[in-house]
Amino acid sequence: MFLIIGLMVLSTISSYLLKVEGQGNQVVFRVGWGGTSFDTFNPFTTIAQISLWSTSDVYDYLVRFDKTYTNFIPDLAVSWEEVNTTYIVFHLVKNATFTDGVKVTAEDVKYSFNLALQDWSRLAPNLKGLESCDVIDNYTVGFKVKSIPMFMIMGATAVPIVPKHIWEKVENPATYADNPPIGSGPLMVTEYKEGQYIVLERNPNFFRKSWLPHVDKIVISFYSDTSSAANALKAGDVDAVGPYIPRAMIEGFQSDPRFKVVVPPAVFYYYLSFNVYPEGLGNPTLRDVRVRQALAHAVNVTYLAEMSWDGFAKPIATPVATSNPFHNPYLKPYTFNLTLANELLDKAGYKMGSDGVRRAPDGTPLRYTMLVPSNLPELVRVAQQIATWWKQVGVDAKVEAMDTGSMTAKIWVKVDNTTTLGHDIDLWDWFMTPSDPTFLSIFLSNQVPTETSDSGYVNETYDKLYEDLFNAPDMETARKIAWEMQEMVYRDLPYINLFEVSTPQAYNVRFTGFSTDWPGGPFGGYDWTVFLEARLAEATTTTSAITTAVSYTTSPTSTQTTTPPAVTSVTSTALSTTATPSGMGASTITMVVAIVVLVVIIAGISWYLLRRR
Amino acid sequence: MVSKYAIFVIRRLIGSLIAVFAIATFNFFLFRVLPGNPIELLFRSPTLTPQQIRALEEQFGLNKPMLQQFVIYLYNFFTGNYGISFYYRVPVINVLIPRLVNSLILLLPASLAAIAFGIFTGMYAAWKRGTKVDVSILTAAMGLYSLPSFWVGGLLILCSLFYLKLPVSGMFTYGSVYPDVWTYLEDFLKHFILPFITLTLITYGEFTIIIRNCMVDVLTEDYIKLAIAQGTPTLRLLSRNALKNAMLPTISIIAINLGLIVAGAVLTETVFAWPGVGRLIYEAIIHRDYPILQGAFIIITISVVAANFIADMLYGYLDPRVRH
Amino acid sequence: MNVKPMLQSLSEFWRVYRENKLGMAGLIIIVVYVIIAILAPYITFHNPSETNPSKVFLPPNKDYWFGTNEVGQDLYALNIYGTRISLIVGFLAALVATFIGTTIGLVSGYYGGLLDEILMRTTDFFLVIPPLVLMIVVGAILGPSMTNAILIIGMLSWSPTARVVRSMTLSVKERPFIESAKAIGASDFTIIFKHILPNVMPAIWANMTLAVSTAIFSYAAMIFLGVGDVNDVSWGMILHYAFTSGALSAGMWWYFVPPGLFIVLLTFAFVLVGYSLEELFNPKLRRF
Repeated sequence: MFLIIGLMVLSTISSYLLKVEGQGNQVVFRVGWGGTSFDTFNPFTTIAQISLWSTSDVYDYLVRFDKTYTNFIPDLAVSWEEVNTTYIVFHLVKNATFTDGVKVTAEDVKYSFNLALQDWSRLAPNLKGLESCDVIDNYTVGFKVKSIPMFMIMGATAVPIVPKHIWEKVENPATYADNPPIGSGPLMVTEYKEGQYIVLERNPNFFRKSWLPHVDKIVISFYSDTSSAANALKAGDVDAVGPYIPRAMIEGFQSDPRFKVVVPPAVFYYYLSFNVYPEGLGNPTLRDVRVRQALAHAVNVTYLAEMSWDGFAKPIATPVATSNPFHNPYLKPYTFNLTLANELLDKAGYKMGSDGVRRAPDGTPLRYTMLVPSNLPELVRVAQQIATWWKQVGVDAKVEAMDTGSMTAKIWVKVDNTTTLGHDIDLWDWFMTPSDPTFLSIFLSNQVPTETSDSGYVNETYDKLYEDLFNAPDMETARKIAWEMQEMVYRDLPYINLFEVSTPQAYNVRFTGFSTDWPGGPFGGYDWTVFLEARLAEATTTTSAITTAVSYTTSPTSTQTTTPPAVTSVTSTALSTTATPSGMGASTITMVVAIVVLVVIIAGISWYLLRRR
Repeated sequence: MVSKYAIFVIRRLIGSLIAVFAIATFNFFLFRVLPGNPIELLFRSPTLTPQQIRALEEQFGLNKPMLQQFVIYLYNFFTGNYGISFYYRVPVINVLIPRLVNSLILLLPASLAAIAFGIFTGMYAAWKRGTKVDVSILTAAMGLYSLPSFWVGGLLILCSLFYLKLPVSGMFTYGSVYPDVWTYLEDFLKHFILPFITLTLITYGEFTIIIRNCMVDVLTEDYIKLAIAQGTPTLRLLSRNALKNAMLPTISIIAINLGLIVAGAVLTETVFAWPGVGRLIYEAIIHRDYPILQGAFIIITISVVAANFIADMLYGYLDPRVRH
Repeated sequence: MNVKPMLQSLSEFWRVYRENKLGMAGLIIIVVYVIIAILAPYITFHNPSETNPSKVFLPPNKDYWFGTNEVGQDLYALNIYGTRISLIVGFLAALVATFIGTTIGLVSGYYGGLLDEILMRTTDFFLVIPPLVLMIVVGAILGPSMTNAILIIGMLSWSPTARVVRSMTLSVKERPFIESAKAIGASDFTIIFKHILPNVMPAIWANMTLAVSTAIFSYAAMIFLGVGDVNDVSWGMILHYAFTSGALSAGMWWYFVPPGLFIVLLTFAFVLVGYSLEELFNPKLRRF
């Protein structure tokens, strides 16, 4: 055991030392990530957005989305034909190889879809309508599906093609770490350190040369929070940051000529959920839709959006993002009208009590607890603001901020081995799917035991519609069904949808080629083209501005690379001056000398003191 | 015949092992009472099926009875297997060790520097005890001792923004191609200097007080008074006689206070996004990654126990009186 | 125990303590803080929880002395109100720690033997565990509330007190008046609380003052890391938001600096008082 630990310590240290032997003249594009860090390369079990994004060009897919989410771009499949309304055939490229040199064939495609269908796969719900997959010949594969448009948007674009010859030898693919990943895409992973960084380089054998990236290396480094990542951008440690830059820093980046701020379509949103579960334990008055409607009229969504994400948040009336093709644009948030809210409650028979809190005819007071995750400070403030409005309509809401663990424990409680909902109201956020309607599954009746539904909405018609969605013969029908589902939850109000946030990102103008149309933005969103498009800006006038950074396109100073490590501090200072023409030399010398002197002093003192008397 | 020192070592070793076992047990139960199902929390997704949840629970052994989990845990603990990280899905030890190395790279130089400075000022204050110099050094040391590390770190970040222009997050400029050792070192030092200053500053005050008090104790001993009366030169007196005697209690007090240094490191690493164990703990709490939290907690506590053990050994070696 | 001698010794103590300039300075600072905490509603001009989307991130001005935060709250009011929570948590947590530490120290020192051995091993165990790391973990487990924070901080910082009290109990136990009390048949309880405790009290005071400063610091650190109740207005919370909202990185010093100064000054004051007390009771450290 100690041997293992010792070896690992040594390898860590040596990995740092090996860094030095780099060649010059490389263009490196570096992205700093301040969100949840990379989890695993296994594309079937990953849950982190950053993992999906980082590896979006490591694996090939049958087809790719364009940025409108309505057209498809050939990837591994050069062409495809619909034999009839339930059968589709894909013709694969013939010169695709995995990075280990093995050819990509129809067998790999079938195997990958088979993996994606397994219980443990995150992609299984996407493939609800897939009935069979047939290998027609080495480079032709056919799918029998319930709905071709749904298969295209949820299957063909979503299932990564992994090498069968590697995965079938894996004992348990559900726990396989897949490091380093073997794919057939334009990029490959050359280095990875958990929670620290990942290095991607171009795959020289990739079959479509026009897709190969313009930069030599892509480095994504993980920071513990968005501020640190933004600081790294400022200091020149990275060239772009995601998932967003903190609000206080937006202005600074906007006014700095070295950086550019982009505001992409939103992928996450905040909502307020009522416990409407028939068997739920919360305050029963919330199961009365008239109460929920009155409460919805007592929330000023526009004010909240402005208060928490000034200019970057947009009120939203459905759980489907505005950029999603399935979004119902005709639904508008409930109007903010406290008088109307009061009237509605009066009409419904909830009389005002002497203490300013309304009571149901059976005497239950309209007193609720609102749970909010404490790691979303802006949402805590939203909840506090909502509570003050509700007070004016005779509803007493108490805000309780807590960590998400405690929150889940309070929402989904076990009574006699069945899961039920124990809370009144919670406020939370969801990441929304950009291209498909699967997100509507949060309101399915059977979602309480899976701890997905925090509203406990139960409606058989809704469940039926969701099934129909996967049988829709064409896109138009599918969209209509999705719209109807959105109208239902809009009317029944299991959620008050608050607002979606378009999170601003920033990049260094040294690089260019980024699109701002992809949901979630170019850095860490759903944009799979960013690595392929990123390139150095032609006019490199700003290079001098990045004073603190090591120069990345620097030519190798070959005379110094062979410097023996065992030199005295005097020679080292001389060398370091010549090696750093950027002008940072002086402070470095001081630092090196100071550290060397310090170490000598400390070593001397300890030796002297610890001598046996 | 076994020497007295060997017996002393064995006794201390057994004591340390008991402490490690206690920590292991404590650690296990501590992490089993967390609220919320970690799997469901971690994988909060509308598309998660009950089968997936069950498969994951099985994978992480969360479906077994508590006692069985404990037995498995203990077995794994002593064979160096700290389980698979919920989040990264790789053995915990693979994530932990590189982070531990990063932490030590920051912690060791900072503590050593703080001790070195602390010896000088502490000794000086003790020599001048009762004078204005002593009072001001003590007051300043208490002031440093009251500084919260995350606040000092924040102030340095502010300074860096306005004046120093040093990077304030991370350990390296990842992905850089370094033409030679010196640019590499320069890049590292630029990232290193601010967290280093923070950690040194906040521990410096405490060490000064500790060393000053130990020195005062020694300086009031009769043999020192005698030496002064005999006219031994000040410097030699301080370094030869007094310091050596004062070092012994100092070492053990510092070892006991290692926990505080670790706490300072957790906060400093968080502020400067230094990829060490402290930041790992912070992230693991967010991810509810129990195995990582457990592993990190174990590694830290065992390091502190080990440091105390080594300090005891040193003490016993240098001062035979304590061996009894 | 007689009231008169106690008062006499108190005034005697005060006479000596007054001479200690640093100690007095610390005491005055603490008194000022207490006054600020009590008068908070009267010396602030805005309700600390009042938000205002049109006045976010304002630099200090004559309306908002310390500027405003990301939702338009008055930072001056937040800082002033923050004094209350910090003092409450500091005192109560120190009380819990002192209570546990004193009890364990007295029992272990008085009875000795196996009980002493077990209690002291436990104390060592808690002394070795890095308290902040454990606090973060336990805080995440028990959920964020002020009561939990007080209990956690209290229960994790009693070990230094226990050690000191035990060693003093050991020496007091050997004194002749304990022997005579035993001879006239006084119960253990009476001996511990009537005879030993008053003699150990000075050390307890000194330790408790230091515990207050540790508690204030620990609470701020917990909240800063996001483990704690963000509903309570405290300095740690202001620092937490200053850091997470990016205000610090955007160079808004007025957001980040004041709460830290409040913490530093208060913990410094408690350290000064604690150290002065220690100096009074441990003549070796005395400067005169």
